Amino acid sequence: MAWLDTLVKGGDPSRSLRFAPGRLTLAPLEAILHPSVRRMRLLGLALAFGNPLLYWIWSEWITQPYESPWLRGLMSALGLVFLIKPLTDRLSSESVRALVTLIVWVELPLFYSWMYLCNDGGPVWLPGVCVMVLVYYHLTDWRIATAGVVAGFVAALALLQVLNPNGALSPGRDYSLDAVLMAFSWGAAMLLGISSANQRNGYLAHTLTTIGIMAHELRTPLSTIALIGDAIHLEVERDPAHPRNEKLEQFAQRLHTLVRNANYQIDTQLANAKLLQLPGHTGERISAAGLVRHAAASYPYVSTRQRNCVTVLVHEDFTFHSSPSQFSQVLTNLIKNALYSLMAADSLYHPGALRIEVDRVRSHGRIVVADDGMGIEQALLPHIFKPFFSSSQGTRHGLGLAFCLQVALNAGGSIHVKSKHAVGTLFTILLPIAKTEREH
Amino acid sequence: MSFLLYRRPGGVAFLDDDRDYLEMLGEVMPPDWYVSLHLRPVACIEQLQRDIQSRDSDAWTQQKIVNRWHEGTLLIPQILQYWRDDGTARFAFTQVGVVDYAMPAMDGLRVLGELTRWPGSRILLTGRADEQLAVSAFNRGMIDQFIPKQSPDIRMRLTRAIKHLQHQPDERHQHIWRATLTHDQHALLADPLISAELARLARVQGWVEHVAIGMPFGVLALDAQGAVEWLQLERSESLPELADLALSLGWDAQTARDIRGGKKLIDLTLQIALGADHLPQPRQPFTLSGEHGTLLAAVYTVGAALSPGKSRSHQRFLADHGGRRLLEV
Repeated sequence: MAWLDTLVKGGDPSRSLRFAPGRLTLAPLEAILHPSVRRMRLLGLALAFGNPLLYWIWSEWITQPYESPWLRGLMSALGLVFLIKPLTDRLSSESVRALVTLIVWVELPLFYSWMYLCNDGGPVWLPGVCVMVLVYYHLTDWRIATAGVVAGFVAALALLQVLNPNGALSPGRDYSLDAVLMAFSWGAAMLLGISSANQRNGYLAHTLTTIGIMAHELRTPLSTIALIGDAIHLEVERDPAHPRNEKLEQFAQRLHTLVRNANYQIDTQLANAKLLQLPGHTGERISAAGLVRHAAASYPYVSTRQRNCVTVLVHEDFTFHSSPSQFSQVLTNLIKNALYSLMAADSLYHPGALRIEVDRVRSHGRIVVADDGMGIEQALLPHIFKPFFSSSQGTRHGLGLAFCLQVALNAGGSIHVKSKHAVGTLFTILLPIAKTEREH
Repeated sequence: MSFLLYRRPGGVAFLDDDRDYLEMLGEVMPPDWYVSLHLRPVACIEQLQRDIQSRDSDAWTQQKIVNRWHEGTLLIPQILQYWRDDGTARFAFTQVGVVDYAMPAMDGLRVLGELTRWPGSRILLTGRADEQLAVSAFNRGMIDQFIPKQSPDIRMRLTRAIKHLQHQPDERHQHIWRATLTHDQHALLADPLISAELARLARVQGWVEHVAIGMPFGVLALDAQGAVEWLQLERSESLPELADLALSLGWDAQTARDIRGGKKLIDLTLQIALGADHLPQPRQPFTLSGEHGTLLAAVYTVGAALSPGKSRSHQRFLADHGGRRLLEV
């Protein structure tokens, strides 16, 4: 169908994915693949209990040249970190993801490289390293894994030079077999990692394309409905004395309002569906207060009561660099989510039920969107910024917050969420203040 | 904007793959427009290609009028003859094409790409995803305007845009009729103040078609009912010459004095052009003042016998072709 071509030519997400050379390297990093709480706990248990078991095997049963109870203890303790509930509840937090990435790097490439070097490879640690590489690529993003393997080996080699616990590698030994096997496993792991990332992006792109097509296909019928409203209006003008004219005018007005709201929703969905092709950190200098006021004023509220529940508080304005249209969309998404949450809580929309605040925190600007709605369950929080994850299955497609995250990251900032079920939700966007303003 | 030397009502062609949308566009466009609705790109292209040939032929007819004038034949009788001979055929030429971008058979830009020789104005209807394409097409001069389909006031935006483009000059017509004007006459017609005043007068008088000529200086205009009016334009320097002409044609000394003093104008040049069937009348003129000078003007009616009349009027054309049915073949 030509309309499909249209979307493709018009810059739909799938097109950019199919042909952009940097689509895999530039896609957002997924520091933890499939970050479910259960998966993290299982990993923690495996590390906590596996390390003592392996220590016993390699030191007591099938003795290896080098083993260290202290190191095994440390690895085991690090594994226990994954069992800490406040940590597994906050897997969406940037700092937690960074901590998990660091622990996994220490546990896998660094520790395994160290053990391989200290044992001079051999029948245990050569396959061990090969398996470690495969596992590592299944736990984290392939780009992090690639950098991690290299960094782990170099760090282990450096440590060996400094600490030299059990003598250096055997001089004159032929490492070609080790090198070939390691290269094979590393290549296989990388291939699987890239292919799996490609597949994930492919699913995402196709779904986004479908949303784009659906939205696009609704345009003309909606425009036709608006014209029907116009036609009714013109008929009324042609016969001003008709007794039912007032009612007909009301119907025409209602048609126009419905079409306007529907178009607004479609624009929102289309903007969100362009998630994968958002440009990088460029854009205009934007006044946070101005943008927030405009977004709050132009949102198509369903009632005056709903409109009046939104309070905008500007404690201190700041400017930042981003795309005004994209950032307006971010605020629209957050307002929409908050109103949805208030509706779910059967709110009476009292004034201030949805608060948007603008202020500065040290060198950063801060925009807070807080509501007194239903809140989000703790277990769902790690997933809410992922594309197609929605806390309300069946009625939302879950692209809005993924879009918000991407735009915030592109602006050099971050987005955080705090929520308590049945109490409310608070989204905080932190943004770097525009440089020249800060210098002044 | 300069007063158009030649203007006539042109048709508007809409091309969209959605039947309902087209039919509703037909419903809400102003009733005094000739609107053609196309569902198939190929049929639309064929119609506009035919339009090119008809326009060429029409422009050549107009050029021949000016050529004959250079050889000594008067302009006004020729123009009236042209209107009578043409009937209503020229009203069917499409002036503005409105094309949807996203269509199954062929996208809107490809359709317009097939019509590079077609001289009308082009509007592209776009979805949000197509806006970048539309901007690029606009920058390359492929379209005059693009309007997003999701615009909340799509009817108003379309109507405004089409009206604006209908008032854009057709370069070929401007070139043909410019040859009949002196430099001073053209400068006066291009004067912003005089131009605006003439455009207002055209609206008030209900002219649908007009042509500005230099000899005699004025505007020959046609209203929707096929009646013709002559707007006589005189510079103050030409008034003594007009007064002398009045005296030589037997008008009294008082009338000649009034003409010389700018208190009256008389359509003697129209009588010379139309012959004894037209009886001249002294009339109190009104003033058109601009930065480049002042003109005295008066409107005269041309007799029904010399006018195209109702049977060849734009109103009749619309009555015969205003059905706005969907053209599917």
